[in-house]
Amino acid sequence: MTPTRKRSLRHIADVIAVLVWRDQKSRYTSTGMGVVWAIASPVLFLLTFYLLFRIVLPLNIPNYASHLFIGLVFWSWLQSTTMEAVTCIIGNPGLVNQPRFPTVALPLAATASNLVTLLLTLPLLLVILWSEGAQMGLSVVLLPLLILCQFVFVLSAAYLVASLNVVFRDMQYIVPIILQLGYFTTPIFYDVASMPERARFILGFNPMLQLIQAHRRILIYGEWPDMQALALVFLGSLVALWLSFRFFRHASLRFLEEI
Amino acid sequence: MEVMLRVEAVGKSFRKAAVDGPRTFRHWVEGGFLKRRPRDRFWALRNVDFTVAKGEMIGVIGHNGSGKSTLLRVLGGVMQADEGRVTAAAPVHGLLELNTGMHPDLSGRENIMINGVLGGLLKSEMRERIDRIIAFAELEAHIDQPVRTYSSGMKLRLGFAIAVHVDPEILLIDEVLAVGDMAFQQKCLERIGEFKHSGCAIVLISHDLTQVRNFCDRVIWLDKGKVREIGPAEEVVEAYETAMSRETARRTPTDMPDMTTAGGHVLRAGENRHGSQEVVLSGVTLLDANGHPTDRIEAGQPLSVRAILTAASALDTAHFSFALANADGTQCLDVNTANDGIILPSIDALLRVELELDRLDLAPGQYRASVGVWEPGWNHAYDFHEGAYPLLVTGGPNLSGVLSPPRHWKVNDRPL
Repeated sequence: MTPTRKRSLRHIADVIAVLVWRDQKSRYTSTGMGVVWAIASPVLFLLTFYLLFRIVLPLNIPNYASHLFIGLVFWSWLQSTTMEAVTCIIGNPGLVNQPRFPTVALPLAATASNLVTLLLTLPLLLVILWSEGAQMGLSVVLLPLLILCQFVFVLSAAYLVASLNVVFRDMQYIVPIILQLGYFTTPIFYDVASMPERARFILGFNPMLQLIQAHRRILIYGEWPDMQALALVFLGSLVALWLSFRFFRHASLRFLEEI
Repeated sequence: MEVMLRVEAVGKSFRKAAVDGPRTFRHWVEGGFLKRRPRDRFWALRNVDFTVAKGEMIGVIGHNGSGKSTLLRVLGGVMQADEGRVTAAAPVHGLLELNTGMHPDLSGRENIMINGVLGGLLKSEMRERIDRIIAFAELEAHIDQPVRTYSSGMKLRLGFAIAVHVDPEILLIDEVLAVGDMAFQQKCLERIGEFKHSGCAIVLISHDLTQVRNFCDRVIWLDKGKVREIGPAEEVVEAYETAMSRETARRTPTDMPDMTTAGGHVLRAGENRHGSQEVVLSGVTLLDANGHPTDRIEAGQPLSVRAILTAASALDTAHFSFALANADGTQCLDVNTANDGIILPSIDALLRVELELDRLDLAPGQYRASVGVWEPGWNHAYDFHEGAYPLLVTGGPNLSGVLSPPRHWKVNDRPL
């Protein structure tokens, strides 16, 4: 690797660090409540769904709070990242216009920053798991791998929507609709078992379904997840990332003409 | 001389966005997923050739829409040329938009780090420079306060201080020097001079022709995306200015009726009135300390100028200028909204502009005031009343100089 190339990689890493740090720091310094806000939103959803599907329309899912919270926090990583990524190019003309600013860092920073937010909610997840008597086991060692796998998937989505929104300006209105669809076809507040056989086969191609299922098996039941499915998700995400990154690089040459 | 930046036959075309607007997914679907239609393209830049040597500063002038910003973006590598190529011997840095990426809730110190890294430096490099930057910005006392508490001047100093600490070998500058208080502006210009001395190749885009004249070795005059002239600064700027006044003359309607000012002076097209009349100046009045129309004031007294701008059709913005010349024709005062950082709002129909001079310390004598409204790129005058408003400054003895500040003499026969 040439020194210039090495330096520019270091620079991209620094840009991501600075952007993530700005994002997190500004979120918690501007409000008196601080880090509480990081967990406020998932907790609110947790309470709503818990009330709804435990008491009003009981779904009879064991360990429902754990089940629900796992679905919520891992889904919201994808959701918040894509929502941010979709406007990250057109919302930052000053940066895109700056010589030597690596635009590839913008979707990466959105993905990383929302991962930090997710990690901040993990202690609360542990409390909920513990209070419902979860039985974690050795399979917990797979957790970092699952997170890496989801990182690749979320990042590929981020690159895709970021470049699409430059090409088609109404993507920022379409992405929330697609996310809404994903929200209901992914077993977040319900359980895979309650889906009909054929639906389960088709929706099984949804990587988020596989990831969330795997988290539940590891964290609540201490079981080993479906390794074959996860391997497919990981490979698929890598291919998706490769494609969407190439698309982003291709589109990035035109960014300034379109914004 | 060592060439740092070489531009060879560069061309850049855009689609005519005004016609299509931004594309949407909906239209694409409704159009049956058709391949994008062949779209009209226009050339924002074509056949641009030049080089910038080590330690050379080259200015780029031209009207709005002449391709200056596109050129800067192509040079900065944030946009790809469709034709020709740009070769840079070192990383290209930009002094373009200050304060990008800053967050108002974070402290000045934190924002220096953010802005510097986003501008191309590593965190480690920023840590070495941060103290120098704070000292340069003269913000030691406020550096740990959130930037939202800063005045706009302080923000500007912060942004500038970071931008001039990148130690560039090739630097692109866009207009930013036009703002800020004089002392700080001077400091920044000195810093840019230091860059130049240490061998930095600089490309400066500016509307301020005086600045271009004073600082640049050579100037490129862009006209509709093509190089109209390139050469020594003085020559090119002069040619540009001549073309500008010719442009105003060309646009001045010849069949315009004479107009009489409130003071009873006649304005005649082509003589003491120039401009395209897209905006018409009327009701220009000089006012004294009590707000009464006047044509004479005492030296050291305040003076106000009031004018009404009427636009035939809505216009985005314009520059307003006021100048005073003495009997010899020497320009004693020449101010405009652009230089003072004032942006006039869009002119839908009427706009009333008032300039208040807190005191006018001119030597007593007869003066003539010129008032003008200009196209936002200083391309031509909309309406310029040249020397149409007489002003007599009274009080005190006749002086041969231009100024008559309040003054006191102290004479003492004892040694200090």
